[in-house]
Amino acid sequence: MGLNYKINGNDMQYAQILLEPQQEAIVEQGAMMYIGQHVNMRAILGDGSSSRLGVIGRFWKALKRSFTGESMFSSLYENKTDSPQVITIAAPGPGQIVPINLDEQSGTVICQKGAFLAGEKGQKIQLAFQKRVRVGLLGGEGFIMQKITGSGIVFIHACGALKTLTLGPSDVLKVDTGCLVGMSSSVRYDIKYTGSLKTSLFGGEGLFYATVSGPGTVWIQSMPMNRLSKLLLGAALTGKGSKAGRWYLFGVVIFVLYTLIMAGAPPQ
Amino acid sequence: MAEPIQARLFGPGLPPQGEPVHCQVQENAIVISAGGTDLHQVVRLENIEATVGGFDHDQLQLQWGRDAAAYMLIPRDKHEQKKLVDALPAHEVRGLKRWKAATWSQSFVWRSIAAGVMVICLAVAIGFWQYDRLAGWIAQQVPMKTELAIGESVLKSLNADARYLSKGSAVEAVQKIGDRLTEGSRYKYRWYVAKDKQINAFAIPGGIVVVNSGLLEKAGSANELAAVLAHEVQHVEERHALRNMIASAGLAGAVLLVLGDANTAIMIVAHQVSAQYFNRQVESEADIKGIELLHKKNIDAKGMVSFFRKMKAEAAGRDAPVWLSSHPDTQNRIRIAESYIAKRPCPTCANLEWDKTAVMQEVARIHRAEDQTDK
Repeated sequence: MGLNYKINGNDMQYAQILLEPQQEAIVEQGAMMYIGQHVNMRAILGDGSSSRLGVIGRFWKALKRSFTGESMFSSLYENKTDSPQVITIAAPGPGQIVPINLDEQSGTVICQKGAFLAGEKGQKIQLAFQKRVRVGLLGGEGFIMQKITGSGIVFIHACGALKTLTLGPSDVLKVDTGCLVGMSSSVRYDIKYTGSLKTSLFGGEGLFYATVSGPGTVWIQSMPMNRLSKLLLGAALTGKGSKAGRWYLFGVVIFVLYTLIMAGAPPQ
Repeated sequence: MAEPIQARLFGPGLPPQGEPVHCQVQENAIVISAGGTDLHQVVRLENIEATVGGFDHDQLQLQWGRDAAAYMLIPRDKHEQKKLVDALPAHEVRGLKRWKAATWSQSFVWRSIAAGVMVICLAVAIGFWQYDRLAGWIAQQVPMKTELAIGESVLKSLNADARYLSKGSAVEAVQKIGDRLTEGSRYKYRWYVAKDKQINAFAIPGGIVVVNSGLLEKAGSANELAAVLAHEVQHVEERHALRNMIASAGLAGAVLLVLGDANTAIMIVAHQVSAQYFNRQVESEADIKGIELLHKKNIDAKGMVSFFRKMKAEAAGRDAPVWLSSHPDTQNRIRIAESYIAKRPCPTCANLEWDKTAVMQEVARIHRAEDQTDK
């Protein structure tokens, strides 16, 4: 029995979930917008999953979870009544809420830090550590990502518009670093050098881009949070859009001219 | 017949999350089939290429076909993957050797990082635990030349020319006993008498021993003086001062690293070098080795016990002699020295002779001169 949900809004979205009797949902702390009168809310440690080490094990799990951009506690909403109850969950920022059916992703998706918004009880949010150093350093997602396992619907949130792409076995996609939100476990995630110094310096896409190769599903965001915040902050401080790029080019031209002149000058 | 391996098959016409299938590795092909459907494929091993996949780069992906007709087989989990890897002949599947090398090298990188961190932690732990021994070992590696240079600079900083005597009957008496003790040593010893009423004697790296005139006055016999000198000589021979300097330099380095405070670090070293303070363990070592040295040179070592007793009596009276203040509990030292001598008696050992009157006259003259300058 999956969740019955509807996602409303355009750029600042919220999800409306209809909890069936005895159904439970785990929601990121502070994401609740409104809930029905008879919905019970409880704070639980971590994702509520048990551990064979008891309380210490659960605490350790919650601690690891807190490194993936979530809080140590999460809210559990349960419907103890006999009739369906409404809970609504608001996205923490501008962007889109994407429902992922874990059953269609063979039970596992890997998401960027803090992507998890809400899900069915029983889903686990674990720490996925990037084992390849260069991908961790240059891939734009850092060393720590979220691994969401379980069954049913999970809601993830990311900045900007979200695109879901299904890759076949021979499909490879080049993605700007930082734009990757999530992927299924069979997707191979790597980085590649843009290929030429000119492109990497003046192309505006950085030195590396991420590549994702199939088979599997990937979710890509149009506007990573750090890019949005940089843009807004820059505009807020100067009252204009970012003009830094032009001065930077100007500086490069002067530097090149200077070195040419110095190279042409006779040695002292 | 080997048991079937659970896997997921991706390809044209199949669901995006893969079709659950089971496969079997045969002589030169993989047979793939799914229960409940008419899916059945036989793929020859020579058409298959193995690649590394998955988030952790430890997944085995077998692919064949091209572009629109590309297929990929991924084992369901780690366990199934191991079965598949074991079943596949490595030299017949393209890329399988490379896959093994790639997954191995990735785990190797993390294992070596973990091992490196552990080695560093272990080294730090052992460094703390065996700090004295480590400092001692480093001290033994310091070349003689460096030690001499350090001794020379310490001597200079102590204003040796003005405060220390290098000739006269007192120095001669010290030198006579000292030379007998240090005969055959790798160090070339120099002996000084300091114009100081305090009862003290100390050693400087490189074979410099300074005895205060106050100590000479208190020493009742040549044997007692010899005991003190033997003790100080052992500080030099065992490079105790260097060991201390290295230990405090290490400590200062740690302070510098942790607190980033260069002043404190410099103060620690400066204090250590100037105070000439040794810990109890080092002092006891110098006592025992001093007695050994006295016995080796056929000198009666009871002088050490009697001098300690004298010091103890002195301490009970007015302010404690300096030579004692930095030294371990006197009663304890007396006990250890006595029991050591009792255990290893030296019947051939004799008493030393010295020109007591000349030394005492000289000491009295020094003290008179000191008193006058004080006034």
